[in-house]
Amino acid sequence: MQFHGTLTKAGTTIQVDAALLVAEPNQPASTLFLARADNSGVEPVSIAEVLPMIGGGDTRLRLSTGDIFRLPAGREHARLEALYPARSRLGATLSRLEMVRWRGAILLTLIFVMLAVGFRFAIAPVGDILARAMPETLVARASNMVLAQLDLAILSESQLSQEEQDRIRADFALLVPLAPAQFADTELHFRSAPAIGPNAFALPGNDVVLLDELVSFADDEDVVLGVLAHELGHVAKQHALRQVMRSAVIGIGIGLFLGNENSILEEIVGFGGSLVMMENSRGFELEADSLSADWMAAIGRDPDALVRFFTQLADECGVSCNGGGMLASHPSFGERVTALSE
Amino acid sequence: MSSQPQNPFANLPASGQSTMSPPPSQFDGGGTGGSGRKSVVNRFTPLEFSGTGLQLFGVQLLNILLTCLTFGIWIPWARVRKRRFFYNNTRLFDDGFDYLATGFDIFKGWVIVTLIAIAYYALPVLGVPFLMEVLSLLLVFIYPWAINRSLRFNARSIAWRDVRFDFKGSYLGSLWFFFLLPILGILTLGLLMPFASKGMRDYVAHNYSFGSAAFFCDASLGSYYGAGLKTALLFLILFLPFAALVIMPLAGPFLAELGRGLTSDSLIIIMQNQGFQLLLYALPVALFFIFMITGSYYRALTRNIMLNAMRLQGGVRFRSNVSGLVLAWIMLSNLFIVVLTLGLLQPWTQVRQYRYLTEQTEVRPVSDMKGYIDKQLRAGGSLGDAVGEAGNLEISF
Repeated sequence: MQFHGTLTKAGTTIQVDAALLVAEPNQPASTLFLARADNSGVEPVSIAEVLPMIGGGDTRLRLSTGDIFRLPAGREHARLEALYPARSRLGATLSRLEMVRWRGAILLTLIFVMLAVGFRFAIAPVGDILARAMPETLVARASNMVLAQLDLAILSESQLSQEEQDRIRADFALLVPLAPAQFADTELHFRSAPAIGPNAFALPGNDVVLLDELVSFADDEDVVLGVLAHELGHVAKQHALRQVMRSAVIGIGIGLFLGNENSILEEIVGFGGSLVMMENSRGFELEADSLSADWMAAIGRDPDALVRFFTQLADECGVSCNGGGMLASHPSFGERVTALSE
Repeated sequence: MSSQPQNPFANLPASGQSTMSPPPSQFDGGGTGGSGRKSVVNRFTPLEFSGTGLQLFGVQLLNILLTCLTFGIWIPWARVRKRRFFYNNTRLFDDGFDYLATGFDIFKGWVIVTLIAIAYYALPVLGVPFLMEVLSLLLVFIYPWAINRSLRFNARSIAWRDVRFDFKGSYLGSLWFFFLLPILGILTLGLLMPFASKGMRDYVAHNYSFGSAAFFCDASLGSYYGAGLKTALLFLILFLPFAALVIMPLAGPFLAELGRGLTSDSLIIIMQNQGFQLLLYALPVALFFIFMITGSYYRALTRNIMLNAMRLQGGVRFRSNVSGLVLAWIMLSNLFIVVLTLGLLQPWTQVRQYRYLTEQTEVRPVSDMKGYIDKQLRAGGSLGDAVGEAGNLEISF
């Protein structure tokens, strides 16, 4: 059998037509001979190194003489492949797998879609497992760093009087025992941030931040406490940490699926990932809302405080900041009020 | 002699006369350039691309599956296979280029870069202060070095026949041409951009070599400014209709406010204008597309200028006939195809763009291209080169 191609002299661009001969007449079994167009004889050679073809490209064989034999694609090379060095066989197999026809392409697509869908539903459980596996000290340290960075960037010192802070802290202390024991050290931080407005938030560790703007916005103490109960709900369910871990899972997944690409595709999939994150987040908000209502009732305070807060926010802010929808991290006030009253 | 097969070429009329003792192999026979092939000397021959979208699809999907199965360890090999697909199928005078780096070469670089990245993100959490800042500063200084190494790694990995390319940039050269000059170009609102483009492209060409043969490039600064001017014109042509449609209707309310005397409420009134709300969404989208079109256009023009002015020692000339508008159209329509098919047709779009660029590139040698020799000992380069490569700093030549 003759495998025609070209022979390039080692380390040069000098080239000559040539053929590798396998199982030709007169040829001993499992030997390889090289025939060249510039020489009427033949010489025994072996294959030292193989760069298998990829797509429709040539196969590049480094012969024992050091010269390069280029074998065009498009013919069955099985007889020659038997003479490849053992470590090159894997590459040759891969190349064959890659040469899909339409049916193979459809099969690959199906496997890919199954992987992608499986991944979509693995984000939440895997993220939660990772969150549980995180050492508490590390989370606490990260939480402190986030707060320190927020302090630098946007938060300023609270203007509340010491008595008021003490009063809110005392109220908050009533709520904390309702959460599982590992969150007993949840700390309440007072800050001010006019740019953010009436708000409070929970950090990945056992930290809740209350902004002065919320205290002055709220009509009564129960509203403030209702919001704090909501944030404590986030802490008790480790919502922030789980979100961080879930987004890490998404990042890793995108890296695995598209790590080899630098294209618009990453943006598209990243957008899909953020939709999933937002959906998660809205679920977390509703969970924290309902925890807040339960706990407020448990300590004998108004369980509808959050409802009043959302109604007031919606009234004063107008339709434009109602929120909600696929892209929002929080459900709309309407949805939250409805969910709470059920 | 009986245990030897017959030389099939010995029966061909072209070289089959000698029945006496065979001459020693000299690589000087009439093999190539002879019977089957047409001469390439002194004429422009376009590069060819023999890959198809379906082939790339197979390569890419298998890569993704293997990457998932190996939890990402396959990524360096995946990268090599993808590059090999493009280079191997790019043919100059029928011979494909070879990408000789192995996945393991890149993997070693990745391990080091990954360790640095882990240190970068993890150490501050573990309580080592200021490390992130120090490392950030360090990374800025490493950047030119990494670009050099990456360019060198890839150049040394590409071979045509058995001769490899090489790149020899200097630290200061890369710092100036890849980092400071482009920043200067942007800071001067594009006025120095053609100057920066010329500098960067000349720098790459001057430091590139094919085996022991050097590349030269001597395009005039004027031609780069011509490209810049054309691009600016295209920008205006695209932007003015948009401005007329969306921004002009805003002028009325704005001037009315101005006439009333600007107060703190004016801003709110303008911002609540529906036209302004529309502008807020439309402007970034429009600018994205306009910059994409003008960016491809400018890239095409400067590529033509560079390749047309480039020479390879030994009398090889180049020609690039890329049309800026066609390239812009390919990139724009590819974007829509990828988005609409959720990435499924991405391999076809990549092949389409690459094929266009390849086939619009022509090479004209004055001899039979047999005089080039390789001077390096091994492909790929050192571990440092692989680290630079793993830093994901790719600059396409």
